[in-house]
Amino acid sequence: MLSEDILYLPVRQLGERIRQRQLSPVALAESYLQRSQQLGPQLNAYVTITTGLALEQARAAEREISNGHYRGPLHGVPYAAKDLVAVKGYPTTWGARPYAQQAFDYNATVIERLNQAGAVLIGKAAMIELAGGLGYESAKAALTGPCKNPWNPKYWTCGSSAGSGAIVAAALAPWALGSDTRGSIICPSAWCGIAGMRPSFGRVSRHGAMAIAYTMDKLGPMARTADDCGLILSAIAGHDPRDHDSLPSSLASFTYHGAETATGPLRIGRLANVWNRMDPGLEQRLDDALKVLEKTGAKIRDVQVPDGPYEEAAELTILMEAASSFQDLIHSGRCAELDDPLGRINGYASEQFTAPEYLQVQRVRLQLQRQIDKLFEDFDVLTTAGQSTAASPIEAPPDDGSEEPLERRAPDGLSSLCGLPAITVPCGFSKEKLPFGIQFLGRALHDHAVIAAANRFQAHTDWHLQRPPLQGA
Amino acid sequence: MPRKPSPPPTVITRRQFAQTAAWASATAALTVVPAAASPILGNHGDNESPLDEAESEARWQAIVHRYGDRLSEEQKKRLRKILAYNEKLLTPIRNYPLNNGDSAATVLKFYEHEAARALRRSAKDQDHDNPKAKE
Repeated sequence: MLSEDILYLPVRQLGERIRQRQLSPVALAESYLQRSQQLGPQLNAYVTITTGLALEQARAAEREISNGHYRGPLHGVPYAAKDLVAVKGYPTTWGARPYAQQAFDYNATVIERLNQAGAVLIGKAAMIELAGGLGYESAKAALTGPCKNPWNPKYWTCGSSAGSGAIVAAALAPWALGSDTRGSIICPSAWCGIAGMRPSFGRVSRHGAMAIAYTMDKLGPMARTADDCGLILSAIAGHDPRDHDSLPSSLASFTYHGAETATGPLRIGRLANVWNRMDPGLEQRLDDALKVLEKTGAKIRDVQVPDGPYEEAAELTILMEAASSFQDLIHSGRCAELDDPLGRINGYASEQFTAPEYLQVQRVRLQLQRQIDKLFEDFDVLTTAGQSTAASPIEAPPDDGSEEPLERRAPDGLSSLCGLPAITVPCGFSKEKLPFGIQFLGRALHDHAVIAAANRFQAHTDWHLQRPPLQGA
Repeated sequence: MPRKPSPPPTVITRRQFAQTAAWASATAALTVVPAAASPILGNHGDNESPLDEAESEARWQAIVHRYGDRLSEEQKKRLRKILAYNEKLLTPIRNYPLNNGDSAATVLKFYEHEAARALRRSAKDQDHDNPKAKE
């Protein structure tokens, strides 16, 4: 088995070693497979490990590269995919009992694109059932059990791309595909101490991926660095006529050449009023992170998000669209087979929303979108924490009944509602040695801007080089 | 995933659970940032109005009429709370000032400046492909 030093390398370096034939794709795939078989079950990180496919793809990559046919930086590099994207010949369970035996006879577009790039699929990552599409109240709402955080297995990874977060943090694969309807890439990436990017809405095709909310679902990379996210996004982005909401070719494609670090003056707006409360340790780490960026010439100012029902609109959009996307499950009564008590009944309530109510939400959404877009007139990116705390314990007590005011400007809600790109990268640790993340949000389609800001931060820090203290590795 | 804790037991979405759990686990004192609620947009914490209550009750009756035989008493009780919560989500949406011509983001579109830029690029490409078209 290859050393941990190699298995924790970012995609860019693995790809370069493969290109120079210093690293064998077969040896790399075998090592990640072995590590996945060893640690994956301890973390509940996978639904399926695709050993046969991985070895077949790795051998093909090795053959092609030996013959001088190099496809690019993902060629021969392993990855995992959240178990909501269809992979021909393998189960695609959506993390939920009613779909435990489900299989598709085609690949999702994103899988096809990765096949064309010569990437090697190691396995299907565990996830919260239906990516939380019908609601959930516990980390245990998953076909494969609660996903454990590699930094401390008593803590959760966050959801819904739970397995994808654990897999990258534990170096079971160098990167994983996640999905994000409202925070499902950003939260697990922040809590697992990795880089995670939600691209602009419409950049990455969702054909062959489970739908929750048609106007909010996105697929995106979770990796070791922001630079890796850029590399991966350039392989998976692009117009797809099979996804109705796919952007036209001129807007969907994404070219990324190198570790772009926004060399000019970078105008950063620090979101001052998006969280009701924040862990004070994290507040301090954010201050430190922004000082690092200031030293590189970034100009940082506080910015207030204008009031508006962002969170309500985001939540209602998801509830209403999910009632449609999971209509069969609700009408058939098979939602009763879900693990989560809330997920079993929530669809019945969501079905009661009316069409005028849906339209009203979407009319308000447009106003809110304009309001948020104006913030970018003065800034290249906006920044705040990835989440307002570090990871929570898996056995955290359920809702204690406190009547917290709604966090209506929470960044995941408002940015997902508006389809904006966002990235989180690690920026320190809590006193329990759990990762904190800083996130950058960009104007619609300005995916380069968020990557460049995060690249600049990572070029001057080493939080992303820290490794979790895994037992049994 | 996640959002924040709300009246129990409640609709906890993808975001919601994580934060609920995170707050429960936080032992340190937390920095409180006051969240101002606009009088126009309504405060999420407002009590349900009699109209909302009536609507919530009607929706509950509709669920029980259609799916009652599938639901336990405990689930029916919980559905009442979910519906009340949903009404609270709807309140600021209903109160949001809109004009008749304000359209809906039923297909999310990107911003005017992005569209304009794309159109300019496309026009430039066309000019490049067919230089005589301008003459």
